[in-house]
Amino acid sequence: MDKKTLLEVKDLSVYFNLREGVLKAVDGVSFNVDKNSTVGIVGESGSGKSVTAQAFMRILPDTAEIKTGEINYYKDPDNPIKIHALPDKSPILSNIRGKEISMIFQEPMSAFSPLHTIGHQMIECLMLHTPMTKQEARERSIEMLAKVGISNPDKRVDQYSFELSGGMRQRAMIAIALSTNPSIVIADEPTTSLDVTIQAQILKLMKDMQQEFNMSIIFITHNLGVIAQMADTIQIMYLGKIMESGTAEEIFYEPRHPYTINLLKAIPKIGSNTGGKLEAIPGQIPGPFDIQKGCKFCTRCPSAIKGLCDQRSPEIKKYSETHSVFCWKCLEQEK
Amino acid sequence: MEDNILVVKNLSKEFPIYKGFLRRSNMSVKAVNNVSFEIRRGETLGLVGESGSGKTTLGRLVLRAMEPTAGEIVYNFADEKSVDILKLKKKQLYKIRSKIQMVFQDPYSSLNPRMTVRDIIAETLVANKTMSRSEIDNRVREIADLCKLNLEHLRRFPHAFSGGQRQRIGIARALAVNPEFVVCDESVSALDVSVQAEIINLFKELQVIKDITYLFIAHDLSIVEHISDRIIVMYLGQIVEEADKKTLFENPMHPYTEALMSAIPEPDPLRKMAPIFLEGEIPNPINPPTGCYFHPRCHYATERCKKEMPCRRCFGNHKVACHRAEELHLKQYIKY
Ligand SMILES: Nc1ncnc2c1ncn2[C@@H]1O[C@H](COP(=O)(O)OP(=O)(O)OP(=O)(O)O)[C@@H](O)[C@H]1O
Ligand SMILES: Nc1ncnc2c1ncn2[C@@H]1O[C@H](COP(=O)(O)OP(=O)(O)OP(=O)(O)O)[C@@H](O)[C@H]1O
Ligand code: SF4
Ligand code: SF4
Ligand SMILES: [Mg+2]
Ligand SMILES: [Mg+2]
Repeated sequence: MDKKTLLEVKDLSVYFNLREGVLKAVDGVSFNVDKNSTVGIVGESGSGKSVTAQAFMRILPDTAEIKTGEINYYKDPDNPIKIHALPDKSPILSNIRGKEISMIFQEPMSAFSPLHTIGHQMIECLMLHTPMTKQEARERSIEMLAKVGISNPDKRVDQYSFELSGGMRQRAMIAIALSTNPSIVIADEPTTSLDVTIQAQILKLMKDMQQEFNMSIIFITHNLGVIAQMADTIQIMYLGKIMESGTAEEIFYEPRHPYTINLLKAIPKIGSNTGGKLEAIPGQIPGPFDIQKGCKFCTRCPSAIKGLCDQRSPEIKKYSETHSVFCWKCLEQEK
Repeated sequence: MEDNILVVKNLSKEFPIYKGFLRRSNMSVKAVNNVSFEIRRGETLGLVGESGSGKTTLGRLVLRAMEPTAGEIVYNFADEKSVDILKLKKKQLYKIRSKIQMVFQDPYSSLNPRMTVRDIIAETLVANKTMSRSEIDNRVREIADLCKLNLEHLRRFPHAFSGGQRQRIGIARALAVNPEFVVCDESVSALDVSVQAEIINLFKELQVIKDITYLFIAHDLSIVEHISDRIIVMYLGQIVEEADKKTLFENPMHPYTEALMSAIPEPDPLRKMAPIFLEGEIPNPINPPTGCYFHPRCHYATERCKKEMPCRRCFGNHKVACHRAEELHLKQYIKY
């Protein structure tokens, strides 16, 4: 294993066992998260981004199971923790959830209890996962609130989350997530409900905090603009599978997979296409139970090869150490 | 024919805030505060501004889906003289309702789940009682076709459709009555990227075919830039800047517009944004700041800004409400 790697995801599949049948929410996903870097996961609604993140923390709903694959956490490079295999009640698992990996959600309201002050929740979390005393934990909480740019942190610490504006609440959630000094922060659409000006501030804050705390970020979004600004490497997901992965520059400047190429053409770019038509992707995203053989994008792909793409799952094609795609057309072109 | 399909003058809307156990109202939110603007026939006017700045309220007011506190809203329809819709009685208003329509943000909640798609699209036509059943059927088929819905879709119920399809049903419903003016309030915001492009294209196509004027409200500036001819920027219930889109992006003149543009996340990893940070919080609309409403967050504020509210001034077709508009030379976002 590469010394830089902090989290290794190998062939991860998460299935939901539902009345309607088996829903393959995540279907054979592999990638690495390097130390101190940001991995972006981009995909449209239902592509499996949140379920992937839930698997890392083992907070999947009861109806879901990790069907295949490994999630290895290399806190100690020689002695990885196999997150996928930990028993539900394992103390190692609760340490991972509370301290090693933390999460920032889209809706900060749901992360806070309306019954307790922000400070109360931060102090409780710190005392559970660190040897701090109550007084130390309170001081640390105030310090963290100040770090994320909340004014009058010594007053805010005793306020309830509903007394804060959306942007402030998101900052407070980041403060909680970072207070235990985690190695990995998973941010699931952390700015989707915010105004652009506030979004820009939160994104900057996350980058500053990454520098200061030396952490890795897994950044989940459907917004290609936000991911271009944040990610070092990007995974493009569609219906539970990774279509293409590469560095941000590879994805935006040399996209190879027909889905990525189409997606980038579908977004309006300021100043480029004034008055013209956008290139929409034909058709719609199939429902989760419309199981099809072969490539998941084949119902909408303009380059689909009949008899191949609709029959067999595409194999990997590597363009560089960091850049790979799963696509028959890309493999064919090689020959 | 008048060039302007809509002329809005000094429009305001205050919502009373009820407090205390007597529930007497002594405070109010000025959601829309003395706003004036025109919309030219056939254009798309984009409306941007942060959450709570009054965009939805303004959109509803111009359709008289909500009664304003003060102001004038005059339409110049293609076949008539001007109508001040605030002076109309209920019955008269009903008559012109079909000329002004709205497409909502949420395609899920805005469609009645118990009605077939055909009945949803036909609803206003039936209520108008001016067309026979076969005329209505023809119209529904024509509009469904334009909105790329199959005839077979018309018999189904909305739950059987994806987000993009439901939004097309919502558009078909609004356009079935042949409106001249349509307010689109965040009409593509909830859609996935790959579907969003198709709906934006559909709005544009229909505009040409049906000769429609749009007021297009959205918080995504890239989408607004793509679809609009002109753009107005709102802040705390007021219009702070108005210009054609190229002028606005090449030469923003209001500090809030500059900040807004600097925060656009470009889909380009080599063009990292350099956002201008606005200090402080979005002010409370119940108790707005003195002077220029933007002054507590503005990097360019002076003493005068704290005391004196700036008037809107015209620089050709570019209108700005800032004391320092001509001296600031704000950052250009893009050169066309
Ligand atoms: N608790 C659940 N029960 C049943 N199915 C679920 C559950 N959670 C997610 N799914 C399904 O798993 C698939 C992946 O969902 P997921 O929430 O990971 O998507 P996502 O990429 O995060 O989408 P979004 O952008 O909408 O958040 C979807 O088909 C979804 O319907
Ligand atoms: N029915 C109402 N009663 C009281 N206050 C209201 C009402 N509707 C809107 N407001 C207030 O008026 C202001 C403007 O709201 P509006 O919904 O028009 O903003 P917006 O620009 O559309 O915001 P968003 O981008 O979040 O949709 C806000 O302060 C809001 O709280
Ligand atoms: S494998 Fe085939 S269907 Fe899938 S993206 Fe490539 S060309 Fe298109
Ligand atoms: S009037 Fe003053 S405070 Fe208001 S935007 Fe202009 S410079 Fe800023
Ligand atoms: Mg999600
Ligand atoms: Mg609104």
